[in-house]
Amino acid sequence: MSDATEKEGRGVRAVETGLSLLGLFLDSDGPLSAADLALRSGLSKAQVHAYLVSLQRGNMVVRDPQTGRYAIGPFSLELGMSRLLTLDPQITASEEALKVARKLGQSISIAVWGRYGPVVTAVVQANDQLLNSAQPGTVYSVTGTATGRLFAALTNEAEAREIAKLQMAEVTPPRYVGACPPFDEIHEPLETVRRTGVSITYSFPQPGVTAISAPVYNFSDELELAVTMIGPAEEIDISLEGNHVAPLRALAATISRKLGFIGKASGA
Amino acid sequence: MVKSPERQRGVQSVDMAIRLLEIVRKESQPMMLRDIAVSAGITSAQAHTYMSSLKKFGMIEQLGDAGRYALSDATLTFARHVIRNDATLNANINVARSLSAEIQEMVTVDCLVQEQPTVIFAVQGPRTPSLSLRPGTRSRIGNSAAARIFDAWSDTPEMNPNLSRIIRASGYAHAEGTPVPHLASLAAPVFREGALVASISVIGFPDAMAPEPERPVLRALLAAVSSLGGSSA
Repeated sequence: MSDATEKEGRGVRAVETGLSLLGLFLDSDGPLSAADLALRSGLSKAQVHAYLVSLQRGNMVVRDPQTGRYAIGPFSLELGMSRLLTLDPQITASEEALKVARKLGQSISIAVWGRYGPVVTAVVQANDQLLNSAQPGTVYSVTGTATGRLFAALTNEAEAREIAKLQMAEVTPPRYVGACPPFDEIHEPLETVRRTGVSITYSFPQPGVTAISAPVYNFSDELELAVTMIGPAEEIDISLEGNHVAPLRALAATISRKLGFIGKASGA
Repeated sequence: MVKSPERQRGVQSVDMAIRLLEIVRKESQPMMLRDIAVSAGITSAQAHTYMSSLKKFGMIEQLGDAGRYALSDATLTFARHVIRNDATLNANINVARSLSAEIQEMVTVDCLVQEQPTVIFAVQGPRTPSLSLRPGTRSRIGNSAAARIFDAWSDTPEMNPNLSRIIRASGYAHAEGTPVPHLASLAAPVFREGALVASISVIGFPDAMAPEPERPVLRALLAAVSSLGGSSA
C-alpha cells in the first residue's frame, strides 16, 4: 500500500488539478482559451496544454476548431444523464430535509403540486410536539397555507385560481388542510412570495403554528417540490435572515442543486 | 498542423480518472471498489486513491454501508452547463417552454445521448396526467414518437422503411398508447446545418395528440419547430 500511496499521491494531485480546470468552466459564461485557463489556474501554458489533451481525449472538454477555445464536452452530458436515471427527487429531498429538521428540532413537509393543489409526499418529524397535521397524501389549501401560496405564486396562477375555487366550494369537512380565503384576498402574500422567494404564514391557519415554505427547482428549471417547515409560532423565527428561514432556503437550494438546477439563465 | 489529442501525451492519471468515471457510468448499479479496479486493470488501492479525488470534487459518491461508488451531483452541474452553452439546445428548450405554455400540455426536448434518445428537458402542462417522464429518461421506437424521429433520420433505421419515409415526408412522428396505455405523443425534428440535433415532443391524451395537421397541438408543434429555422439536408 505504501509504495502505491506514494506513487498515486502524484496521480491524485493531477486528477484534482484536471478537475479544477474543468471547474473553471462553471464560473465562465462561455468558452475559454488555453491562455484564459492558464491565467485563472496559475498553471503554466505547457501544463494546461497537457491537461487539455487528456480532457479532450476523454470528451470532458471540446475545442472549437474555429475559435480554438474550449468548452465542457459531451462526456460530461453523458455522465449527467446517467446520474439522472438513478436520481429520485423525493428520496433526495427527504434525506436532506431530515438533516435540517434534526438540526433545528422542527418538522418539515415535502409537497408537490398536484391536480387538486399541493399534495404532501413526506413529512420528516424532529420535534416531539404534534403540530404538523400533514401526512403523505394530505392536500393543503391553495390560498390558506404557506405551501399552497408558494405554488400559487410561483407556478401557473390561472390554474391555482381554478383549484382554489373548487376547494372553497367544498362542504364541511373539506378534503384539504388549512383555511381557504378567496384568491383575490391573497394578492399581497403572493407578491411577497414572488419578491422574497419564500412563503411564510405566522400563527396561521392554525393559531400558534407558523410555517415557512421554500421552492425546489429541477434539471428543467421547473418547480419540482416545496419544503415547508412547520413549528410553534413562539419558536420559529420568521425574519428572512433568521435562524429558520435562512436554513430552510439553504435546504431548498441544496436539494435544487442535487436535482441539477444551476440557477435560471440570466436574461431568460 | 495541430496533432490530434489521441496522439499527444496528456496527463496519464487524468486519462485514468476519465476511464474510471466511464466504468461507473456504464454500470447502472453502484459499484464495489474491487470491480471498478478490475475493469480498469489497476489495483484496488490505486482505484481507491482515484475515487477519493473524484469524490472530493463531487463527481463520485459512496452509498450505503458497503460504500459502493456511484456518480454524484457535480456530473449534473456539468451536464447543465453543456446544455446551457449549446445555443441550439438552449433555443430548443426556450421554444419547448413557450409551446407548453401555449398548448398547456407536457413538452419534452430529446437528444441522442450515447446513441439513445434521451429526454434533456421536460415541462409538465396543467393538463398533463401524472407521468414520471423526466430528464434522463431514455426512449425506444416502440414507446415514443421522439425515438421514431431519431430512427427515421438514422443511417441504420430499425423501423419499417415505409414508416420512416412517411415520417420524413410529413416532418413529424406520432405514437399512441405510449409511453403508457392511455397517452399519446407527437414529435418533430430540429436540424442544425442539415443534421438532426434534437426532437421536440408533446405528450398528452390521444384525442389532443391526433396526427392531423389541422389539429391545434400538431399545428403548434410544427410552428414551434419551424421557428427554430433549421431544415434537413
